[in-house]
Amino acid sequence: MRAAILLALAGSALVIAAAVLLASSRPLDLSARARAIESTLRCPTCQATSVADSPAQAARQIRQVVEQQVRDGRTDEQIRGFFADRYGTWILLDPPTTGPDIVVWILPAVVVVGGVIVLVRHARHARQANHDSGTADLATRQGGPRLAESAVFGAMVLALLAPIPAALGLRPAGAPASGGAPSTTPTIAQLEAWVAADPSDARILTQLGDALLGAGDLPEAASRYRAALTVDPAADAPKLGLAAILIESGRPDVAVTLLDGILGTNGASADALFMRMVANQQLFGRADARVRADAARFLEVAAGDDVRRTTVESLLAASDANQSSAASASPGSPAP
Amino acid sequence: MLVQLARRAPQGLAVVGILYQDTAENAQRFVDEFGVPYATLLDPQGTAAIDYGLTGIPETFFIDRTGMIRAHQVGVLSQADIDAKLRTIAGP
Repeated sequence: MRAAILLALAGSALVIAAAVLLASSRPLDLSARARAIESTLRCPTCQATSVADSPAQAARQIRQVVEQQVRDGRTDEQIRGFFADRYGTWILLDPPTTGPDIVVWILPAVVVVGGVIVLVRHARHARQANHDSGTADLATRQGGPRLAESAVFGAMVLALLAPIPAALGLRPAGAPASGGAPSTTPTIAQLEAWVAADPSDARILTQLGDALLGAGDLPEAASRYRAALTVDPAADAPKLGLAAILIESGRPDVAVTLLDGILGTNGASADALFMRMVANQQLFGRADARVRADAARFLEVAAGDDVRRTTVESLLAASDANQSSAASASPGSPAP
Repeated sequence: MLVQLARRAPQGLAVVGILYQDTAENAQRFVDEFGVPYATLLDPQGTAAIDYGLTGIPETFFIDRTGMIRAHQVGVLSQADIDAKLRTIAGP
């Protein structure tokens, strides 16, 4: 009797364990499926980042829809098709192998095959030249350069091929979005985590804004810069970020107002001078006195190895050339 | 520009704004400050943005009387953009 009770209890325990395992494995499977689908969708407001990897709000909202559709029992292809119907096939990180998108898959193979054909033809021509000349010496002088030229061509073809997947935002399944090499620059996800741990750190908020700006997510970047300014209203860095966004968004006039504020307290800010120069150039053209004044001041205060110096020097030179040609074309004022 | 269009909207044209990634309070302030005359809808879950395949802000869609999107503009609109794209949804 006692054995029967124990056996019954053991049976119940097994049933309960099985039920618990089933219950816990189902959401995990669904979550893994959703994550797999999200990793094949491009974040619509970022550059070459998957929905799975992006912290952008748009990506978060897409993840919610994917998870809901997975729970609703839709297939992977139905879910991917749902987004392709709305955004177009560019939303898919691995475009379909039919229709116009097939060029993405065929182009690399075509270029490789073309490169090999050209390589072989060059080699044949080289051999023919050797044969016609009848001397090994001539073969070295004619065939050698031709073969070298072919090898260089082949290398160029391969070098050109390498960036194609990255340029199209493609990556092999399972590869990290940011590439294999470790980076010392914190990722957006890391910065998000640090901000979550300490939302009052204006420096990290600004750094996150910079990273989002670099990823092309202007709304999210602006949101982080504003948060940084809420914490530290006197900080210049988030204002510079907002100014960059305003210029990028076609509001250089508002950017100039913001930059005037920075330069009012720190007239030697090379970043603010450079940005105000760009904004005023958009508004008034490169020959404008305000643009030239900021350019000249920038060259005074910027570090000697600042890469922007060349741009500014070119702008001033072009502006000088414009003024000279305008002066020579002008009939001039009549003498008093 | 859209405010001017809404104020001078020809017969049969409706301008509707959809708020994206912002709060209703901010939207109300914007509407009050600029006297926005057209309806402004909220999209807190971003589902309208996904349905329209939104890629950035602002983005403007030109929808004809049958509900078909005939044109859209990513970024700031100029008067020339508005004129050209309104022609795509103009009735016979």
